[in-house]
Amino acid sequence: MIRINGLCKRYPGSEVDVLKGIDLEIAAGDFVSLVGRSGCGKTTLLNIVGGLDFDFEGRVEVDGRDIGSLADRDLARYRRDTVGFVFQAYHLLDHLSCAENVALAARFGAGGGSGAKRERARAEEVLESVGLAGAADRRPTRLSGGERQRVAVARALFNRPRLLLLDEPTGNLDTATGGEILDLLSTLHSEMALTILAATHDGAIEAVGRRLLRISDGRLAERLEDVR
Amino acid sequence: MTARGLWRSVRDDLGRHWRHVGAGALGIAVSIAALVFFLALGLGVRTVLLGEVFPVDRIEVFPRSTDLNLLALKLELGKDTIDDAMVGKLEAIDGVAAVYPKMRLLAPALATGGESLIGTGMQTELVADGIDPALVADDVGAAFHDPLVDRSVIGLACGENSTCPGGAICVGASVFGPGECREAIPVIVSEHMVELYNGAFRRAYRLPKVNPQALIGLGIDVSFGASSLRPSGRRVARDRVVLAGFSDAAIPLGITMPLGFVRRLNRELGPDGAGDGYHSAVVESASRNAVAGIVTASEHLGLEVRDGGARRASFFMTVALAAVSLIGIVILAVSALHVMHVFALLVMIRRREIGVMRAVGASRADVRLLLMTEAAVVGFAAGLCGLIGAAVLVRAADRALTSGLPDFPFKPESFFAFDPWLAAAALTLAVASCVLGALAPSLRATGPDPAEVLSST
Ligand SMILES: Nc1ncnc2c1ncn2[C@@H]1O[C@H](COP(=O)(O)OP(=O)(O)O)[C@@H](O)[C@H]1O
Ligand SMILES: [Mg+2]
Repeated sequence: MIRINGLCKRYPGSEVDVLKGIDLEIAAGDFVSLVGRSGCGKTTLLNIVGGLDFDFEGRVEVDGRDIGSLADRDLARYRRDTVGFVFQAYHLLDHLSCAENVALAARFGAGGGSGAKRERARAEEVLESVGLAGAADRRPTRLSGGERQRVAVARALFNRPRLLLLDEPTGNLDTATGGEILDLLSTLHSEMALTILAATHDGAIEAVGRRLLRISDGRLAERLEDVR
Repeated sequence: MTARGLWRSVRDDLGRHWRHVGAGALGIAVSIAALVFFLALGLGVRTVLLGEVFPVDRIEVFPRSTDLNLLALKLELGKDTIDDAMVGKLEAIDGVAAVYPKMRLLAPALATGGESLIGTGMQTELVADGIDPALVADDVGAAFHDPLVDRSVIGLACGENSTCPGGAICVGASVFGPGECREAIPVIVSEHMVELYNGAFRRAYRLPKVNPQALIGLGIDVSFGASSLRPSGRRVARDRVVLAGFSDAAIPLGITMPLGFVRRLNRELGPDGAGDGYHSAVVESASRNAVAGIVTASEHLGLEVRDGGARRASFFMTVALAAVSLIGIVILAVSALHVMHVFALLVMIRRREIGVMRAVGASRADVRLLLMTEAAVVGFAAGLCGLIGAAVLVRAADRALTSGLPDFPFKPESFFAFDPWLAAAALTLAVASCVLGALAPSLRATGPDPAEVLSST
């Protein structure tokens, strides 16, 4: 599913590489946790794999496609159709209802412009699958942190992605709510044929994946045993 | 981006940011209103000026006079007529719609009559001109036409003292036999003649005032070839002319007859070769813009153009319109700059939102399309508001001008030409200036990658 070779990343104006040659393979259907100290480069790696950051060195292949060589239009289609991305800060749009937030990708052609009714039905379906049935017409500003996180997950799932990327999905939540989100991810992973890569900062030991990857000093170390 | 998605986003965004957007649109609307108002005024005044005061889509060309002034006498040198070949050359000039040659009557003429009108008969020398009836077809219609060579269409016999119906004239009746009723020659005169008569002439001779329309159909007997100044050596043709209507194309003083009839009279009664050349030609241009080119081409043909101030009027109006347009364009450009600032601000406010859209699958082109469409919609709405504003202003100004100003010659019903194409052009301009203003901000909005945008907000 994902094959990364020699990935290096240096932010413009910075003296040091954040990622210093990362090699990584993730098989389809894997559930991988990415841990590391704050500022070690977890978000950076997720952004690159998610097609949000295309200024890097090395080779990143997803589903056999070389992300670094895609033109803007194809990269946009990749973000829309292949990847679901859940931001640490949720990044929901406050002027839209939850259903509109979830179905935002449809405006840019996701689902082939399937029509308002089917779009709405799909939005309600994914909202229900994250346990937010009935929240379709509410504004994100009226929701709690955990509920917003669920809407963000629903938006990422809207277009049936094959790869779900989550940046510290429990980072802003209390332990109980965070646990609920992790349970939800486990359920989604087993129900849908999803490959999941989730970043978690060091303190949050409740990482769920079958594989645990640790970034430190810009390099990747792997602990192969199952966390659970 | 799907059309429905585009429409929904545009609607959401404009509704949400209407304050900012409205501020940008206001400038565009005001400048469009001002531009349309002044252009409509300029075009309206130009239409009156060029269409009625100086009808400049027609110019009259004359043979270039090579006269020699010698004390009181003027010696004419060289050819002073336009021949058919020259008419053909004029017709071939680019932008010429039609050429109407004119020919002066080169034989004396003496008119008698007027009893029916002013109660007393009078006799006067007549100056007569001949024009192509097509030149005045719009003014007087078919009533003014070249009479048939054989004018006996009426076909009635008449005696020496019996009259013919409908203003026709009895020709050839004598003690030896009956004559024949013939169609009278239709003529037109300039309205200036009636004004002149009703003004000074009537008062000087204590004659009644006449109503121009009542004069139509009036018949006058004319003796062509006869003169009270000098006995004519040639023969005299008595005929009757009947007033068919009024036109600005008629000579200011005298009667204007169909060209073919004047040519015949000149051949029969005038000096040798009098019926062969024209004395001037009216050249009609297909559009006002072509006039300048026609003037130049005519001068190259060795002709002289006299147009009574029209060229100067046309030039000044063009300059005035250009100045008004320039000022309008400058205001519009300033407004477009304002729109640019508004969109730059909006793009800044919407930085995160644009990042999110790109994260879920919008390409750079999608985001630009969205922003440009929003700008176009704003421009269209602003242009529409500007047009409505201009229409209201035009209506109010027209009312004030027509009721507030005293009557003056050529006072128009409306001072404005509010053409559909002007409205269309203004709308296009409004849309274009908004789109242009939003161009740079949209390009800037899609510069950074989504990760950078979303991590910094
Ligand atoms: N846009 C940026 N410009 C410059 N430096 C950045 C930028 N984003 C992140 N960094 C730096 O890169 C390093 C890794 O950041 P990040 O990937 O966000 O870490 P993590 O998500 O693991 O906390 C940090 O030192 C951070 O300061
Ligand atoms: Mg991070």
